[in-house]
Amino acid sequence: MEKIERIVSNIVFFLLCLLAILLVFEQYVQIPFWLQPIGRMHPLLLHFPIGFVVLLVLINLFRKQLDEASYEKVNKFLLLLTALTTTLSALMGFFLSREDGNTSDLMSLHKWIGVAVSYIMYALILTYNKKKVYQILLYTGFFSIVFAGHFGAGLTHGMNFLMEPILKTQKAAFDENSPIFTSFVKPILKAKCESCHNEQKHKGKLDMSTLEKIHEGGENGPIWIAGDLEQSELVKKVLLPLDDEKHMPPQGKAQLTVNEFDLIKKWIEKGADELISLSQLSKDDTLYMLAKNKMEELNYVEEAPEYAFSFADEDLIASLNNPYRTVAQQSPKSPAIDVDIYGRQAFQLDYLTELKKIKIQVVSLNLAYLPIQDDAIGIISELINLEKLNLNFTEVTEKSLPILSACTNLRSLSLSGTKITSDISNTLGNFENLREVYLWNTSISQDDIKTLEAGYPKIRFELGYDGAGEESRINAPTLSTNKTVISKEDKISLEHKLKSIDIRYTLDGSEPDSVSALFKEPFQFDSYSTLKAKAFKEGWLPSETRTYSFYVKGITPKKATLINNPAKKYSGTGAKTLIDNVKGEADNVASKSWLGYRENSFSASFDLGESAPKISKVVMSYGINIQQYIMAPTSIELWGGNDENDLVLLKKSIPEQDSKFSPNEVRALSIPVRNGLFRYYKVVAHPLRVLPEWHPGKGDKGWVFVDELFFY
Amino acid sequence: MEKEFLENKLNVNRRHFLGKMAMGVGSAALGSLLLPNLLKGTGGAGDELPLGIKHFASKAKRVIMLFQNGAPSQLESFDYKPTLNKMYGQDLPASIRGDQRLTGMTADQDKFPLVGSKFGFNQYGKSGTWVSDLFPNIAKITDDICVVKTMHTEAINHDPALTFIQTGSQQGNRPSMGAWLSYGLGSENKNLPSFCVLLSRGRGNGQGVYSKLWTNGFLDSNHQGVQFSASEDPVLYLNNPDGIDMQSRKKMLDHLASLNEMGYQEFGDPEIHAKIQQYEMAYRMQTAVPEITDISKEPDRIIKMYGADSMQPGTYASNCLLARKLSEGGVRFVQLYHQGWDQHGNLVGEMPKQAEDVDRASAALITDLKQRGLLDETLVIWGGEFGRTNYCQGKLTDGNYGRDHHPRCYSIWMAGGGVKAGMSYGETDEFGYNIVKDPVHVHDLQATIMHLMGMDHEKLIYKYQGRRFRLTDVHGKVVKDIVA
Repeated sequence: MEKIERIVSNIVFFLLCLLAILLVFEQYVQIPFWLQPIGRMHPLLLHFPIGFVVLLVLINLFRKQLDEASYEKVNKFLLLLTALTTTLSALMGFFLSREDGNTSDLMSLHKWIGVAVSYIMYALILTYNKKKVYQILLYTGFFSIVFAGHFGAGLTHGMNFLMEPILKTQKAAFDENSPIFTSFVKPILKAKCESCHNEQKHKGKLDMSTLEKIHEGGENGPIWIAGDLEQSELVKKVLLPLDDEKHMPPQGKAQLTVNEFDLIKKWIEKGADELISLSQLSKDDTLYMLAKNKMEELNYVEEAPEYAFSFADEDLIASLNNPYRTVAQQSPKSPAIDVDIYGRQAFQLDYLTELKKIKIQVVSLNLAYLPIQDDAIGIISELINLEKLNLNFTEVTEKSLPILSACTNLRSLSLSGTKITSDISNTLGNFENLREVYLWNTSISQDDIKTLEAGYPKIRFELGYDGAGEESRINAPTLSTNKTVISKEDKISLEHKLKSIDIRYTLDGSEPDSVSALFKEPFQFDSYSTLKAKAFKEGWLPSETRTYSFYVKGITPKKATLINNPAKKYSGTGAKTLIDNVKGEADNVASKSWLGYRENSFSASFDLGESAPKISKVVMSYGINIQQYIMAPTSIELWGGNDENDLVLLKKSIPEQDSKFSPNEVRALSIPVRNGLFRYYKVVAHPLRVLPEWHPGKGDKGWVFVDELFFY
Repeated sequence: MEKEFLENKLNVNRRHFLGKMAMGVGSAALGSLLLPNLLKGTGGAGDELPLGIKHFASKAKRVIMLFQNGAPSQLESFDYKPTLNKMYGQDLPASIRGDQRLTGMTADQDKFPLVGSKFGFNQYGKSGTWVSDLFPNIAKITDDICVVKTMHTEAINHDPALTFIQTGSQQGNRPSMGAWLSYGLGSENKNLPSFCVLLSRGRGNGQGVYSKLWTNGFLDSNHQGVQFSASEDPVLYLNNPDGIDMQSRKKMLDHLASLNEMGYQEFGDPEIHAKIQQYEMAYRMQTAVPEITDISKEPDRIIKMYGADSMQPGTYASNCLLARKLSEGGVRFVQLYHQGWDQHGNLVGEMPKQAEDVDRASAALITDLKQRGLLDETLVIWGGEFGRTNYCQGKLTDGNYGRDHHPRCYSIWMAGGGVKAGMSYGETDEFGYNIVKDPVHVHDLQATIMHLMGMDHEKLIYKYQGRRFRLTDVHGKVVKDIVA
């Protein structure tokens, strides 16, 4: 025994010396990673010394009941064990504290009491034979270890852990009548100043723990002068540059935020009145706004459901994530897990089965669009804490519901687009906590819903939009080509994205209706044509009419010359703009397909070559964009002749002029030519000189835009 | 990114350290005593929270942003100001205008004639929300949405304002909101990009959008928004070339990945890893995208609900439908842009057309998400980059007018995802020019969106070029009053 005693006490002595050295050089000690697990065993080991000390006290109390010899033996052995485990715990605790770098007050309290306990235990060995001293030390040690244990538990569980069920701390709710100083200003001072200026530690002879002490001030007198910011010591100190020795809080400590400092300043400025509250201030007062912000910040409680179950292992969660399955904890503080599985083609039943590993934690599961059938529901029903299940557009039926009712916490169930029928009403009663069921796009009708709602008043049934009775307009048919200048061989079709559509059309300029020709075969055009088309579908309003104009390629002149120059901005690609078979768009008049004239008239001449073919008509296309002042020409003149310098006026046409706002469009005017056997032609178009009364730019000059001329 | 480069250099050091020093474990132990983190691998910056998990529990998982590009007028949509109709043609009082900077388009105007909405307003729903006659379908869903009438911004022209609301900075090249959320929360469905962008163009006067609005900025490039094209083939170049089947494609990509991995080992450029990931995602997208974008299987009533235009690729309606499908398929952030809301002139002519294009489909999206049980986890935001002036730009004519840019107040609405439903937030003055109650700055909106997504906007930080960056920079306050 003596040998053991000597060895153990020597070990303890050595360890205590080590501890002392480490404590002295605490700031320079860094714990290498391989020592960290030993530090982390502190919470494991510390329960031994606590138990041993209690036993020591008990044996000491009841020593009269024990025979002398066994008491001595057991007590001595127990004491050695206690001293050894205490010292080891203290050392490990030191490692742990260096690892997480916790330097709070609570930490240092725990640390120093713990260290004290280990020295006391060694002292017990040394004073074993001095009964009186032994007794005193033993009880000191006992109380010390009780406090060390309590503070230690405070570090891991939170200081109010023990009394929480009794005290049930009501989060201090502040209102308009809470004094600004005690509610909002003091807590800032407490957090940012009191660690150095408190009852124990008054640096600069300043104690800020109570209002009286604050009024007493420090070595430079009071820290604020009501209403006088410039003379207030606190303000001055905070405003000093951070690296100034006198700056407060000192460099390295948590600084005041801008809002905190503003609040303190405004409060001092307002008279540093300890009792003033929000209700005494006007709402546009800066202090009011700052304090109100602070109040809202303090009163705000994050509302999140609390779960009693344990956290899943981080690595397990990580291993369950794959490209087709997302497994995510709701937040670092919540053990609840949301799971989404995506990808119909990639789906394997394993993706579901593997979730059993976290069956306690899964609260939300999204399986929409996956090939899930009733046989997979058994796996889902094992997720006992499931609250939200999305089975939209899966292959489940109402047979799955009885199995699913094992999930007693289920609150929301999405079954839209499934084969579910109104038979679900028989099993919904098994779900106590169900509050919403999504049944859109199933065979369940509005009438069924009424029955369900009557049977389950607590559940909200969502049937969504069914479109019945609403008249919605279908969109217009589109064209197979976007060319507007075509060849005679081109085949042109009308198309529509929706199924079972009737496209009806006219070619005579009249409005198509439900009895107009039905589109079946592609069109071919041999001259300028206007196609009007409209789509029809049952249950929908017919579409708007679409008008398409087709220009058939004519005889291309050998050469075109502009007699008058267009406006610089709208000069297209010069004269060839007119004969390049590219049409312009009325919405996009700045494009290169257009020639624009305003100050002078459009005038261009065309040379058809020496053996000019006979021309029967000339078509000129021009743009209308009333917003941009682009109107129809007032008149269009066609001149012809075989001498370039001696042409005669063949025809003068007057295009229709708009008398109200009309949509942008490209129009064409066809000019018939009798005996058109000329080499040279000239076309002139005059812009509107004065915009009409109804136009926003009335009185101003109009534009003429020409994009193409065709000779047939 | 330079962090990763630095780490690579450290990796090399470590290898050298272990390889060249013959003392092996002893020196390692010594080294670890001197530098405790030496063998621990990456030691991230202390203030960064773990990525891929919410900071706190929240309802919203996904965002659909219906961006109305060009700035729709609040005075013809949600902010009803009858005073403007009463004071038709009168000059805007200088006291109301204050020191507001004007754009070059109206700064030279000597008169600022007030003009009220040409379109009627009515109250709808249990909440009595005011909605103009231009939006009859949105009027039907007022009990599902929260109208914020007091948005305000700092920029006065489209490009900076647009960049500001998307990236938190008026200058470009900061990461877009979608990229931040992709960075912070990761992807839900790893077979699709976590940030998708869909564009459409209305019939009104338009303003451009450009890829800097969906940039990843300094974040890894796999957070960049992926623009879906308006054609029949929404993601270009996704199909295998002729003669290549899926299996040989996979083989080829695996080999390519191992070659790239060698490159990474040598240079440590994180972009190489981003590239490998993108190849692999593209491979998985080959099956995932056709599943998602196939609208031919949508029931007739869905087409009817969104309107017939939804069958026409590239329209706002079809983008809304696609947005629903992408969001349902686990895309974290779907960003729509609908162009054509810049009504400087001819507002009376253009705005009904713009409204007609978006009204039905926007409302349908909300109803559709609702009937699938997805609205509570999907946050939908509808709005533009700023508001429009209460006075006419140019000459006020009988029956028509235009409105200039106005950054001091404008209206947006939000729905689902933990936003309070059926409420209007904030008040503007009777002229619709200044905010009188509950202003919501663009940074506040961003903070609120992040809050709804379970992210603390002050803690989602990326360190770049020696400075810590946030979406809200050093600003932003969560608007708790609209959080349910």
